[in-house]
Amino acid sequence: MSHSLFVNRRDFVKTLLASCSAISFATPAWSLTPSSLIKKTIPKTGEQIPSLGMGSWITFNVGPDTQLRLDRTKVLKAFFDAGGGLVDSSPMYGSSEEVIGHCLEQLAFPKGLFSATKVWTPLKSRGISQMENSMKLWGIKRFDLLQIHNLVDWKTHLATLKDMKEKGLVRYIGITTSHGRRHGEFAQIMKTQDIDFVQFTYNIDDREAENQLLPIAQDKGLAVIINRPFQRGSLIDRFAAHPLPEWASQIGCKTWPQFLLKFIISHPAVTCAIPATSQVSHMQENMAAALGPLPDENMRARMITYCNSL
Amino acid sequence: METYLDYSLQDLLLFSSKVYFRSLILYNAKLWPAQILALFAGLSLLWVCYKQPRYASYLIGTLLALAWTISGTLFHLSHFQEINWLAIAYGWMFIVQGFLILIWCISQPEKFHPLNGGPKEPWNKWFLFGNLVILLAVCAFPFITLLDGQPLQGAQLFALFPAPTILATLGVAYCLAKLPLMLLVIPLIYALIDFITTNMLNSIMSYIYLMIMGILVLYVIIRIKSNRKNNTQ
Repeated sequence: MSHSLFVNRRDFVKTLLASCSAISFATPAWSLTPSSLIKKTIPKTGEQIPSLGMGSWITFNVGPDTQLRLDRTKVLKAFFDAGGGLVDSSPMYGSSEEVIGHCLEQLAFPKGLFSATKVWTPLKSRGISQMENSMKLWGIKRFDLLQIHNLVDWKTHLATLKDMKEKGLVRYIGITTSHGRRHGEFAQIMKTQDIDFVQFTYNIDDREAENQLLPIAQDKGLAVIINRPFQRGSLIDRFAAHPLPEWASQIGCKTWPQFLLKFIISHPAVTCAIPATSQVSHMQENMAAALGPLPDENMRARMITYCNSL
Repeated sequence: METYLDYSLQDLLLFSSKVYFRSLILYNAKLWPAQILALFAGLSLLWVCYKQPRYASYLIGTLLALAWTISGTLFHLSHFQEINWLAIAYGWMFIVQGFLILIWCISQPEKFHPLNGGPKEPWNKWFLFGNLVILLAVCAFPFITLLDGQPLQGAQLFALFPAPTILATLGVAYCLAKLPLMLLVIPLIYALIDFITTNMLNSIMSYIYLMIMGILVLYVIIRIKSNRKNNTQ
C-alpha cells in the first residue's frame, strides 16, 4: 500500500487543484478518469487492482426482468467506464451471477474485469459443480478469485481450491465472512492456511476488524476485500441528515458515501472495498471516492471522532 | 450446519422491494388470463361454503388443495425462486399442504362440510365471518397492492398467490368449524415468514400477514373453547 497516497494539509492544496478539474467542476455527473483511480497491490503477486470494486448482494438479483437487467448493465458499464475491476458475487445471491453474466455479455466482457465469486454449499462434489455452474452463469472460462463463502465446509473446499489453483483453473483463492461472524476461526485460517484473499466487513462504525483481522492480513501478506462498507445502507441513512465536515474537502470528499469509502480504502491493509448499488449515479459517486488523496492516520482519527459525535 | 444458522433474517432477504413488486407484475403478465379462472375458482369456493350444496365437502377440499398446489408450483417453484432460492422450500410446503387437504378431505369428508350440517350456536356468527373472510380474500385482496403504491397489474389473487390463498383457507376454516387444526400449521409458518419478509421490505402486506395470523390464532382459540364446552356438556 503506497503511503505516498497519504497527504498532509500542505500538499493537499496542490493535490486538490490537480484533482478538482477531474472531479469538482465538470458535469453534474462524476467525471472519472480510469487511469487516475487509486489502485492497491495484491501482496502475494504484486498485481494491482482498483481500490473500489463492486458487490452484487441484493442489487443484481433481478431475475428475468429485462428492464432491470438493462438498468444493471448500465450500472456495470459505469463501473468499468470509471476504471473499476473487481466484481464480487455468490451463488447465495439469487440470480445475481446470472444477471452479471448477462450484463458482461452485453458489455462484451470488459478487459478490466477481475471476476470474484464464492462457493456456498457443503460437500466437495457439490462445491465443484457449484463453481462450474458459476462459470457458466458468468460466461467466463476462469475466475480470478474463488472464495469460500462464510466458511461453509471450508476444509473441504480449501483443498479443492488449492488443487484448482495449482492446475491454473483459478488465479487466487480466499475466504469470506461478514458482520463479525466467526472471526476467531477466520483469523485462525488466515494464520495457518495458504490463501491469497480474505473478505470481511469493515467500516467507520464497525471497526472490529482493526483488532485482529486487518493486522493478520498485513502480517501474512493477504489481500483484503471489504464488504458492506455502508452497513447495508444504514450508515448513509444515519449520516444523511448531517453535513459533511468542512475538512472533508481536504481528502476530496463531496458526499457521505465518498467519505465512508475513503475511510475504508485508506487503511493500509485494505486492498479493495466493494459497495453495491443499483443506480448509475451512485456508482459514479462511489467510484469518485477512489480518486484524489486518501486520508492519513490523523485524518482517519478525525473522521472517526466526527462520525462518533453524530 | 453452524455456518448456516448464524445468518440473520436480513441476510436472507436477497432482493429489494422494487424487484419484489416488479416480480409480482411479471408473474401476473406471464399467467394472463389465468386470473379469470382464479377469480372464478375463488367465487365458487365462496358459493360452496355459503350455499352448502351436495358434495360441498369434496368441492371445498378439492378447490383448496388445487389452490395451494397451484400457488406453490406456479408462484414459488416456477417464478419466485428466480430471485429467492428459499421459494423452493416454500413451494414444497404449499404442495404438501395441498396434498394434506386432499387426503383429509377424502378420508374425513365430514370435517370439510360447512358447520357439519348447518349453522348452530355459537358457530353461526363465525360461519358468516368465515364467508366474509373468503369474500375479502377473493375480491378485496387484489386491491391491497394499491396501498403499497403499486399498480393493479401486481394484484394478488386467490389460488395464484400465497397470501390470498392462506386467507381464503382461514375463511373456510371458520365456515367448517371442524377443520383439522394440523392443516393450519403450514399456513401459520408461512404467514410468519412472509410477515418478516414483507416487514423488511416496508410493505403494507406485513400488516395483512399480522391480520392473517390474528385470524388464525383466534380460530384456534375459538376451537379450543368450543371443544372444552362440548366436553363439559
